[in-house]
Amino acid sequence: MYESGGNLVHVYGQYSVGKASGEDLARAAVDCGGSVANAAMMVDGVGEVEEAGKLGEEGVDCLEEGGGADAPAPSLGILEGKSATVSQKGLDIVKAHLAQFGSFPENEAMIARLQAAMEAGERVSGADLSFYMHELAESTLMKGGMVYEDAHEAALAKYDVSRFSVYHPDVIAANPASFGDVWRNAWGLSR
Amino acid sequence: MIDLRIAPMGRARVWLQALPDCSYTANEVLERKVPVVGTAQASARRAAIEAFAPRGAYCPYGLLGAEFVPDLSGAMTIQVMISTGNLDVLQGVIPGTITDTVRRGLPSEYADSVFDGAIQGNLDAPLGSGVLQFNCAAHGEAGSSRRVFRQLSEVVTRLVGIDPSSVTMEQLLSLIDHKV
Repeated sequence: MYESGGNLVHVYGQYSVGKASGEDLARAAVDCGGSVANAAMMVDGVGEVEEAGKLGEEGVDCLEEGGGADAPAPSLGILEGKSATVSQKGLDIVKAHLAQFGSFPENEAMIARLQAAMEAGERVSGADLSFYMHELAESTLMKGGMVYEDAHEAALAKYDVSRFSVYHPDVIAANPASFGDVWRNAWGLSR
Repeated sequence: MIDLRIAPMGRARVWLQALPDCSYTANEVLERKVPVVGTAQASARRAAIEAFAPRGAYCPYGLLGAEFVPDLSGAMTIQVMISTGNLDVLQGVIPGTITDTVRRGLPSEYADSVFDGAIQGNLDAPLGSGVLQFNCAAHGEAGSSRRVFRQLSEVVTRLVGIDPSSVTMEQLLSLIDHKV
């Protein structure tokens, strides 16, 4: 169900097939060149999950090859070596989604990183991309009625990423009380 | 065991005058003595809490329990049982913790946090002279942190001081909510 492969089209396709509305598409958060039409193509073109990889190759270029890598790093799954731009819509979705859990410095720091990248016109990769995509997917799944626990796991599985990949090492290092040694070890950080 | 919903999508389970089945082999027992404040409890008390509090990209989790045995030593002794090595996976945890792998025991990285929380909890609601031993714990590989165990320790210390026969649900919630 949560097989990886392909690229972003797969990610959105899993839960958008058959019920994506125009608003849903407009909310597609990764900026595929700035057009809703491109976002629509991502979803409309999916049809079946099995087609996702192929369709991804055909024209969905939201995630570009060559994203920067933080090494050593936990697995980034299908996001490995990829990068994406952050859209205002996407960032707003992430902010609104996280707001329901309360305000926490580690989340605020990750949002600040995404905001800074967007304002600088820079693509995000590595942990920033993992966090961004995770929150977008989790938000959409929960809006669709899935409980948090299931949505969280599904969002991780959707990208086949390590659960330790969703916070940038700088954020982990800056918030040592919020993360156990396993997180630091995953990123090669000293305690 | 009392099952509680805690804001904003979290869950907690509380044990008063009981501990969950969360035994583990302690490789080391760390100890600190703190000044006694207040009057000692008349009898032994025990309490534990397991909590899970989603934050989006990760889910803080921890389980911690302690037993307090009053004495006439004139000192408040806090003991923390530390476990190392490959610890057993704990079954039967809060359902929400399917998002993590939960193992029995308390790794040494959280020991100072347990002491800090206990000291704070004892300041807020003094237990008096005696031994407060943290001998029941489980941790999530991804969800546990120093912050989690500091907060749980503070709550457990407060719970130990509660008279289980008269505590209300509102009191429990006020003690726990926004602490984890």
